[in-house]
Order: sequence, then C-alpha cells, then structure tokens
Amino acid sequence: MSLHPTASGLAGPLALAITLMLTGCGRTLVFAEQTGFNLSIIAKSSEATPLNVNIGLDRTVASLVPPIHENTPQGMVDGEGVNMLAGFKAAYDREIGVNQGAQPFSGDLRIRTQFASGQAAWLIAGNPSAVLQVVNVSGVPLFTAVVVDEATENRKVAINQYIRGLATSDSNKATLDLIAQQLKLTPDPEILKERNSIIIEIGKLVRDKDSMDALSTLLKPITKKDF
Amino acid sequence: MATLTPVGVGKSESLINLNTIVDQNEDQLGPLIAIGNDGSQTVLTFDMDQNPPAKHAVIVPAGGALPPGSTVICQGKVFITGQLTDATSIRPT
Repeated sequence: MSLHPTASGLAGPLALAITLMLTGCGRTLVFAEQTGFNLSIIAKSSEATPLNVNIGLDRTVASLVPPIHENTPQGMVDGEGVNMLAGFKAAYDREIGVNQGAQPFSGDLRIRTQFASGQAAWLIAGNPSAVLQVVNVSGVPLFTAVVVDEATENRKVAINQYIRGLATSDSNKATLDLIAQQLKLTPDPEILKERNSIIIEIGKLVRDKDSMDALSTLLKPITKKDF
Repeated sequence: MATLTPVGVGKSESLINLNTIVDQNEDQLGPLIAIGNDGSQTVLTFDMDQNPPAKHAVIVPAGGALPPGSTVICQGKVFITGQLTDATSIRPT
C-alpha cells in the first residue's frame, strides 16, 4: 500500500505574487501562507520492516508590511510599519481523534494559524495577553461548557458577583488570594487577572447542583457565606 | 483592551442549548465577542475585561432575516446538533 497526498510547493509564492499584482505593490499589507502536508505509508509484509511511515510538514509564510507614511523629503520612510501579528501551531492529538487513540494514526492533526493586522493588531498591541493568544495560537477552549439548571445558575451568578465585588478594591486582595489558593490556583499580583482565573476555575468546576454545593462548602471558611 | 476567553461547547448541542450556554457564560465571563469552532466543538469567545452584559447575545443561523433592534456581533461556523452551520451572533439593542 502506498499513499502520497501532497500539496504544491508553488501555492504560497504563487498566491503572494498574484496578491502583489492585484494590489499594484501599493501601501497594502500582504500576508500569504502555504502549508504542505505529506504522508507516506508503505506496507510490505515480506520485508524486515513491514511498515514505513513518513510524515512531513512544509510551511511557508510571507508578509509584505508597508510603512504607515513615506513623507520625508527624500521619499523615505519615517515611521512605523503597519501593525501585524501572526502565529502558527501544528499539533497531533491522539486523545481526541475519532478512535480516541486506539490506533497509531487515529488522532487529529490540527494546523492552526491566526493573524491580526491593521486596526485589530493596533487595538490589542497594548494587551500582552491578547497578543500572546494570537502569536501562540492559543484559542484552545479553556473548558467545555454545559447547560446548568436554573437554581444552580442563580447560585453561580451570586458567587460570580461576590468575586467581582471583591476585585473592585485592593483591600480585598488577601481574600481573593485565599480563594485562589483554596481552588489550587497560584495567586496573581494583578487583582483583575486573579479575579479572572478564579471565575474561569468556577466555570470549570460547577456543572450541576452537587458541584455547586461542593464549591460553596469549600469556600465557606473564607467567604463566611452559603452560595 | 480585551481578555479573550475561549470556551468550548459540545458539537451535539441544540441551538436552544447553545444559546442557553451563551446566556449562562455571559453572566460569568462577560460579553460574547466571537463564535467559531476548532473542528471538534463550537468555540465561544468572551471578553472578561468587560462586565456581564444586560442583554444577552443570541446565535442565529446565517441567511435569515435578523430581528429588528439588534446589532451583529460576529459571524462564524458553529456546531448545531452535530452539523457545522454558518451562524451570526447578535445582541438586542
């Protein structure tokens, strides 16, 4: 058996060349990318090595980042380039494939790419965590949400409002630190980041009445309240 | 600024459940700002830097008329009862 799906190595440069022609090489940001994935499986039962597998990933990214101005008397650039951030990640996960890791090739190969340009890149440029989410391609869900019954949801909203209320004053930082530690989180020097970590952890933990009861009991020594 | 918080939703969830999950997670995490999928589940992205909104976002299949008095938040492909579906998220004004 031999299987050789391939991607053309010319696709990326060709796309870039066409894009350049279409934009007339003007002051336009161009971002082009090409991914080639090659898989070769050769099975020969008569040989000492009956199964040969080769996997290759060929990745090309090209960007043309123009200056914001070209306004010196000499026609030279005097400022920053147009904003652009990009990230790429390839991962093979045997645990979430159709056959949940039962076979060597049953997992999912994920190729994720993200980029932000222009106003979008400018808006997040001052927020390192948002930049990291783009560059590290970290849009992976933090948890899988489920529908929660109404009574539990009301209790969840109440504890959320309590946590948000604490985070409005630095004088409550010590209490938030205790809650973070009780939830096995590392306290963060920034109160809003710590608040967000606690809220996300509560989102992960509370799935039904029993888990809400457990959370309320766990935090009661600190909150002095039943939620 | 924004603290983007992606949350997954199982691909088998109905549109009604998906919107209930949007409601409940906006109450916890802040306003919905993006919808999409990672190939195996729906991904909803919330902005934790903002307070939970007074009016919840609603996900509707793309192509239909949008209810009057609403603004479009974003568009994307989400799973509705297992089917990858073009959808729009809107927020009543």
